[in-house]
Amino acid sequence: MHIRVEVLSACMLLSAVPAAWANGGGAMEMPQANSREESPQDKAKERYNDGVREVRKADRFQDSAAQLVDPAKKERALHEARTRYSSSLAKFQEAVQLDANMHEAWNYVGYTSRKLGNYEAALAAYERALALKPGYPEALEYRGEAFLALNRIPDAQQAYLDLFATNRGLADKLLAAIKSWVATQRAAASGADPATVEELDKWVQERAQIASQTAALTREGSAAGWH
Amino acid sequence: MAKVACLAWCALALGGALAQEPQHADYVWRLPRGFPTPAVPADNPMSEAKVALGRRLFFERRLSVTGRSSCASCHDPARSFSDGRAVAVGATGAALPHSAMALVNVAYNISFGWTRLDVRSLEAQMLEPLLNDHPVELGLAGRQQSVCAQLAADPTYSENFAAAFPHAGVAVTFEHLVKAIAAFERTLISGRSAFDRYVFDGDHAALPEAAKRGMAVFFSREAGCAGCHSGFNFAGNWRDAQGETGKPSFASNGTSERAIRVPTLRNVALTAPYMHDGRFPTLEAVLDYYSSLGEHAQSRRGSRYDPRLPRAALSARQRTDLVAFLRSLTDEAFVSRFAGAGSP
Repeated sequence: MHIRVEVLSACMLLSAVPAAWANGGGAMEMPQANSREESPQDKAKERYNDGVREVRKADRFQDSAAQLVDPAKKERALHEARTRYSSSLAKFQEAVQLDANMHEAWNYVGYTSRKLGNYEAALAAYERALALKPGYPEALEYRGEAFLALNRIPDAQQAYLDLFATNRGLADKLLAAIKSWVATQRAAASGADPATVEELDKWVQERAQIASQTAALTREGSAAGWH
Repeated sequence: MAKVACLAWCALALGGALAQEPQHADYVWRLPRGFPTPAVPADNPMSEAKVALGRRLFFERRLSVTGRSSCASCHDPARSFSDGRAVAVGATGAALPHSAMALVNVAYNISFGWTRLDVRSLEAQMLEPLLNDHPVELGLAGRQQSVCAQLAADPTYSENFAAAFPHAGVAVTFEHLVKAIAAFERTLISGRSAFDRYVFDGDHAALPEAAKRGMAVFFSREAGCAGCHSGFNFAGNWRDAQGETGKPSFASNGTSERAIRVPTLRNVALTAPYMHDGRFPTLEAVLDYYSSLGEHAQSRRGSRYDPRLPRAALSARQRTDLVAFLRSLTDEAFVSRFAGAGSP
């Protein structure tokens, strides 16, 4: 009962937390009931949609955990998030077993694996998603974050550049993650090589400046929106 | 009147003939990083064979009344497909009202020409230089059939046309000639400059410091350069496979009674003299002019001048830095791609 109250309060807190949910894609439209026999692709979509619902709940718990100060409450929220990431991973894995060509589900297999700390599995899933849909921006961004978690900095930088050319919004998101990585490494007693961290910080600053200056090069920033 | 009728006939002929042409979905664009896929008219799909034919025709001097001029006479690859003159000169020596526009990245234009809003495709635009007779440009009006006959008699051309238009009953036609050149012009895509290496490839040493300072000035609201020269092509709104980003970009900067097209700044260091009438011989002179507009920004308010123009004078240092930045937009690989392609 006590745990349930804590979980509920974490959920209530979440309503005030800025959304930082998965950007892998929303639910898919399902065919009308009884219109025909359900195909493996339809079943895959169902599992995928179940997974999306679950992963959003997981994201909410993770975000609320970040806001909580009480260590016990924070741990409970994180536990709830992990539980839901696990169950959503299972749904996405079912989806790709039913339809191996569903790049969205592979992307979420990567996302949930990464959230559970299985970075190599996450990278493998992103590769599958990108093989099915080359240049898939959401997978590029997630993969960039996985590279960061594995301290593969040049790969994360390349992911940023790939996104910068195609999707400024997700590029900004990855740049924020890289910036956060720099801050974490600086704060850690035994973080990455300080020279590497400082060099990356300089790179982040220059990229942020380039991104700001060249907003006018994008579709949204072209002459139509200048005044 | 005769000219209008002729142009209208050609436009109709083009529209009708192309409806039967199959799509070549396998054409692979080789685009620089950050460049969108160009829009291609449904009735003139891209193919390697068509582009190769168009490239040959672009340098073909038989496409002029004198047999001494080609498209490349006014659109020299070494000058980013402009001609270095203040105003273009037709095959018979007649001066044209405007300078030859650089064709670099022309695939992304929404409309064509310095002043016209209504010319909306390369195929339609091309009828002007090919057929105009007041003044004469290439001077082919009334000679379309004889030119096509000459080309059809050339075994290589005959083969090239057949490869480019495999499903046409008669391959060597004036419509096909126009379509092939348009297809070639759509491939004149340039985006591998030092600026691109800096911004899109992440090579932070690609730009000298002066160019980086100039870039900051260029994209500042004070200078206003990017207000008109926006977008990946530095030419304002564009058209690509996703559609158009807005209206064709025109601006009133005081050099004409009417609004003038905003040209691309890519490879601008190669396209002197500047403005629609070539009035400024150097980039420095252009910036001096814009700086003077900035200096008198207050008195311009409410006038016919574009509100995006500079809001203050540019310092000497800013102008020097801006020139360094503009020079960083030169794509050497693009220019060398056409070296020896055929002298204009």
